[in-house]
Amino acid sequence: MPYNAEISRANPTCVIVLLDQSGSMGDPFGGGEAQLRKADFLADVANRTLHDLVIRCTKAEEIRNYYSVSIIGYGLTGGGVTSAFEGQLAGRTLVPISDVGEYPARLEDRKKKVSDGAGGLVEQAVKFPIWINAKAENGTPMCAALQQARTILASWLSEHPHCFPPVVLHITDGESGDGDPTAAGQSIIDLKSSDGNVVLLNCHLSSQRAAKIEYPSDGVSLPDPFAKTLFGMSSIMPGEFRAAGAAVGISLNEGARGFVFNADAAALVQFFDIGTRPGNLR
Amino acid sequence: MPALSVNSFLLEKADTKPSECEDAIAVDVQALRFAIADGATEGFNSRRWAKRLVSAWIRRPPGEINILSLRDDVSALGTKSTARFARRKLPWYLEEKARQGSFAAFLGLQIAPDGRWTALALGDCCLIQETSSGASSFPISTPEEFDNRPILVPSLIDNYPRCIEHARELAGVSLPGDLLLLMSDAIACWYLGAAEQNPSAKLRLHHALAHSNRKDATSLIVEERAARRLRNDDVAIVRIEVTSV
Repeated sequence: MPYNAEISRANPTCVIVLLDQSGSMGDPFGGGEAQLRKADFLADVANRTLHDLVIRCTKAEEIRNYYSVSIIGYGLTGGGVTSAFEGQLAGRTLVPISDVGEYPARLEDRKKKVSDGAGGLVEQAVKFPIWINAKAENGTPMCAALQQARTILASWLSEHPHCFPPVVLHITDGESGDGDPTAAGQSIIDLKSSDGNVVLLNCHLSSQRAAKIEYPSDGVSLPDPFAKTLFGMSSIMPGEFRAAGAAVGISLNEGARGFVFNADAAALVQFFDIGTRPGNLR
Repeated sequence: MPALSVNSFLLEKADTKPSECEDAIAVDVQALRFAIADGATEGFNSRRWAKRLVSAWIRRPPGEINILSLRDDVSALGTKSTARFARRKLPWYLEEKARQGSFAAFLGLQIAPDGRWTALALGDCCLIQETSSGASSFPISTPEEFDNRPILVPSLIDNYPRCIEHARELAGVSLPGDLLLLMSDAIACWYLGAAEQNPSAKLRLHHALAHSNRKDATSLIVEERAARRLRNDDVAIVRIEVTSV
């Protein structure tokens, strides 16, 4: 039965996040009602996802290397594709989760609501780690980014042939600027471990006030060829991932693709949650 | 005073070190007190919390044992445990974990001199009693009832005030020839399920435990894990054979 390999230190898996950091990511989210740039919100959600992964891997008093993580940004000056990590991890393409936890670029002071033990909530000062800064510049070299992800995955899978299948979370707000990404996306989905194929999930962020389409089973309702392209290069969601959807309140049909179109802020948060939740950590 | 033959067995998950085992056992044959706990891997230092829970159970002064006393004991223990790490400077990820606290499934058993017993449980550690007329299991009675999200004993019980509603109490009587087995979740699930279908495996486990044959008990567990009949998890067993009352 696929997608049930245990994730352990002896058999870790890999998560890759592809972040569109092109100029249009500087536009406001969802037609402006959120008063927030897409790039800012995306960086915040990505940092929070890394935070949650580190916490999930912290056992006893250490961070166990259940995952290696790659955060790739594309659209940078020079049309580049590069690691989006900053600080001590800058330039590293694949980082064990223990290093992610040990080396955030900085810690910000934030407030968090916690239980007061009497049924209420109190604000508590917490340290929030930052690994990635928001960026929005230049074009959208999506194919190059997907190809880089594929290179990382091929190497990972040759060293970890029995791992829980790696996951690629791709977030973009626009059309590819370097050609049709279908073949590059499909070449990622075709990679596999003995436990199943790599899972590629695509999330499109909207600058418009438009209805979102989440995890469709077919492309009929999609409004344009670009949406259909992203749909076509999104994995059919395995049962483990559909269960992760159910856990955050999203019912996914059998045959649903890992694709969200015109995502708003809530849909983006759920997208990261669904993509990184599955897996039996040991 | 009942005469008991008591054996205990603890084994870590495959591919982990014994020092990482999050199950804990405490036995005091003189006081007729026994406990097992299963620290939740997701919690902060749940291994130590599991050890503290079982140690506190057997060191508890004589007195009535019930769900309210369990709540008070856990609250006091949690306060002590929290104070200990609050003095330390922790990296951000341990600070975050410490804020969430530690969690463990717990089962405590107190046997009275006349053979009557009281058990308290919160979580999925089980007490299985085998008598000449059959077997029963508390608080979970069938393999299907085990899931990965039981309500556990939290170190910060004031933050989870409703958890105690899930604690269970059971009283019973043990007679000569009875077996009382305290088991953490994976091995209890196996014992109630796969082992029921395979009496020779069950017999082999009892033989190994009764003769303190750790090597054979370990081999059996490794084989059952490899055959995927037993989930790869820490194993804690206390086997109590009542020889006379």
